[in-house]
Amino acid sequence: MIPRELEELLTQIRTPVILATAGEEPHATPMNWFYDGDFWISPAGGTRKIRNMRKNKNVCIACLENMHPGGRGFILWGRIEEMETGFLAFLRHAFILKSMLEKKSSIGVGIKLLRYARIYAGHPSIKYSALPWKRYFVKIRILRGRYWQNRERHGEKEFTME
Amino acid sequence: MLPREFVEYAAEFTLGFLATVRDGIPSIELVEFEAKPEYILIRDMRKDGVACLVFANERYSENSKMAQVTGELVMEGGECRLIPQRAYWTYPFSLSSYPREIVRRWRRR
Repeated sequence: MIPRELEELLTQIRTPVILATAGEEPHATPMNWFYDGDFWISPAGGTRKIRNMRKNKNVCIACLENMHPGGRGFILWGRIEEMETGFLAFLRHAFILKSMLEKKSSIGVGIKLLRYARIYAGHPSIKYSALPWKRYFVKIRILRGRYWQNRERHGEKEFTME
Repeated sequence: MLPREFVEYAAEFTLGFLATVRDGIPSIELVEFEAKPEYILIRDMRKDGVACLVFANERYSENSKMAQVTGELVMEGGECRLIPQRAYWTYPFSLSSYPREIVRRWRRR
């Protein structure tokens, strides 16, 4: 079981996580995410992290609330349990994506998002596809981790899943 | 040398996420850093090998600022330095006009 205190953090924090994957070298980027008992991320297709995750299912996820040095946060190690893409996967996981956008960010689902996606998907400086049906839906099984409420005052707590 | 534009961009940030890999398992540590033209100083760290430093603001989508630097960690002069091999960083943009640039990239020649 994930510690209750960590579960609260996973429910309350709305800051992007940093996802690290391992290929020939380490790779890390900020990501949209959602936690509903399972930990979900939804990276765009054609990216280095997708290539890495196809070869190596180990990942590390870190988050610092508001990217503030005194913020609450966590560092989790896990393994990929599911990884799907395509139009059917998009339909199947639309609720996860909607939850990421509404509960974990201020983006929401609406005209603004469409405008953003249109600009981003076609921009010459972007090398991968941001189109929704080319997204991946990745479910991560958490194996162990550390988390903190106030690191300076109370330090970090560690846990390992049984 | 890292572009001046990147060093100025990075000066806004002091805290980053340093990713390394050991035995096929990636790990992240929160680190304090300072970008200099030749290298990135990682404070309170004793490590070497390939690493990837990410720093970002807390915003999503068009308001997001993030940078990623991949390179080699070396201990030199009693400090831990990330010698950059490549970097990219993003600029926020307005949805009301088509942005000239979103991502900038740099690679050591």
